[in-house]
Amino acid sequence: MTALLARLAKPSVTNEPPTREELLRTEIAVIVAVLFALFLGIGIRNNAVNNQRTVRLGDGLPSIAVPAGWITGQPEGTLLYARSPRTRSLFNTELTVTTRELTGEATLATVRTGLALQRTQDLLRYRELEARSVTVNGQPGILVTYAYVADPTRDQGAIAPPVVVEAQDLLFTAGNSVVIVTVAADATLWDEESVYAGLIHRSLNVRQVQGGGE
Amino acid sequence: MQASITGGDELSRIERVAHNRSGLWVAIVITIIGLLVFTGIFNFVIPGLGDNLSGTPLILLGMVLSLVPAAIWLFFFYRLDRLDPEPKQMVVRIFLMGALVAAALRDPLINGVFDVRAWQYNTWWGHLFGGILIVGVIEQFLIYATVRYVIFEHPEFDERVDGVIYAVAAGLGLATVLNFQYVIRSNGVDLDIGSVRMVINALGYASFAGVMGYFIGQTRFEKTPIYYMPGGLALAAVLNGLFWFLIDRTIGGGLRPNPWGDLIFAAIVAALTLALAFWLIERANEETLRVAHQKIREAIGMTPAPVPATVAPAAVATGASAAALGQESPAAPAATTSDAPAPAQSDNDGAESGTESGPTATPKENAE
Repeated sequence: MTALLARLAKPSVTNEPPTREELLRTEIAVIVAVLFALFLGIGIRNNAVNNQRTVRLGDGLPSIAVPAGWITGQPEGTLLYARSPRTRSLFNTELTVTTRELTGEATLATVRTGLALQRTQDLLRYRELEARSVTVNGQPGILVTYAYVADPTRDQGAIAPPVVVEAQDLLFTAGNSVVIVTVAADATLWDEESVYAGLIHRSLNVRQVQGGGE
Repeated sequence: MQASITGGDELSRIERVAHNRSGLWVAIVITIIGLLVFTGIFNFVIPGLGDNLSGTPLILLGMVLSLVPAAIWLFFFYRLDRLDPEPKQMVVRIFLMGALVAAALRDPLINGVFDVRAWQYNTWWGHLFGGILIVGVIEQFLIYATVRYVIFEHPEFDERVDGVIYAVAAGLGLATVLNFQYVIRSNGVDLDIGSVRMVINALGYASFAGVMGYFIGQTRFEKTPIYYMPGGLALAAVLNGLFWFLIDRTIGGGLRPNPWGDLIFAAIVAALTLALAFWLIERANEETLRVAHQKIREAIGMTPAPVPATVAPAAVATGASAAALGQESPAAPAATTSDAPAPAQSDNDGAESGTESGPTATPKENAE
């Protein structure tokens, strides 16, 4: 410790000031050290973004990955609800998993149509942006991207403006029911928040179907 | 003649570099007390200030308040270091440059390129290591760059301790920008708790910048190993990341936010880190002077002047060394009264021996 402090206090045995070349060398060393630290930081970032925990949805249903820092719960009518507590928006990025029983002649396509109708009634300014056919764990599924206007602070009596939300519904069959996995985020942050949608979808082994756009 | 003057200039330069400023110790203590009083005023004396304000007036008041911690810091440092202060305009210039650089680059890098807010709080290790490797490194590099490219080669940067003073000014600039952003993002702040947050920012960034400034000061005046400055930046970044990790974890761990505990913690960290930096500077200064005097003695020993048999060579060397420093020495009269001229009194001797003596050598109380 004493040697370290002595070295810290007097790194040179002479009192000579550094030459220009030595200063340049120091500067390069600082820049290299900063770049190296940031490179390590990117590794930490990737690990943190991909850090997840697996939640079992129930018997006969697949497990799903949830970003590690998200708050989870099971409100009435859902299999799972999870929310990012640190979203840079009044609207926290969220995941909702629900199911619909397949009764009578209902199919995945009819459930998807019914869900779209329900969304137009429940959500303000609902607008479907895209729908694609996908496979989920090898089974056929549909990925619907849409947008709407949410007012997340209204319930709390605040006066913040409403938020345009972009969301994706992933529908697929599991046993005798259709599972609906919804990821929603502030539309202005969709690009950066979509890493979480990617993480969730990867856990369900979602694959695009060639030419699957509707 | 020229060599002797150069030697004197060199000794003068070294003594300047190794100048100790006792006023800075008092300045740290008084500044921290001043900042605590500032928060006390808004929390206990006029806690209701701003209650009737909203919107733009509240934001404006918050922004004025954001400047106060830096202003207190710079004012006390300047007043208490008045025996030999840095030029006001240089310190203010570094403060403003630190603020501008932080405003221009900090957020775009940390929250733009690395998008830290989206993932840093997901896990404790992401919080800690992201805080060190990305936030800490970028913030400390911005402080380093501000000092390095604005003041480092300026003639006013002539003492080791200047590294700390200017880096702290740059750190306070960064803290002030964060305070501005905090006020604007929150659409104005509660002035009581807001003042605590602002002071914590100022204390935190000033102390890490102080550590950084110590290494900058050393790099300016010493030949340092290649790892020295990067090591200093890394140390400051680790302290930076660790500090905010510990403060944020009081919330993240499910505990109630405790601004007063955070404030006391920040005050202790600032006092300890800056005290350590100044203590190391004093040690470095002592070492610098010791090496300078040893060099003089060695140089004289290599080219001994003709010494009468009655005077021991060691006594001549000591006396000459002291004379070179402009000091009185018990041995000096013996040397100067001898037949041989003392090196400090002879330009030719100084030139021949290469000693660092000369007419510009100044008295120094703390010289050997």
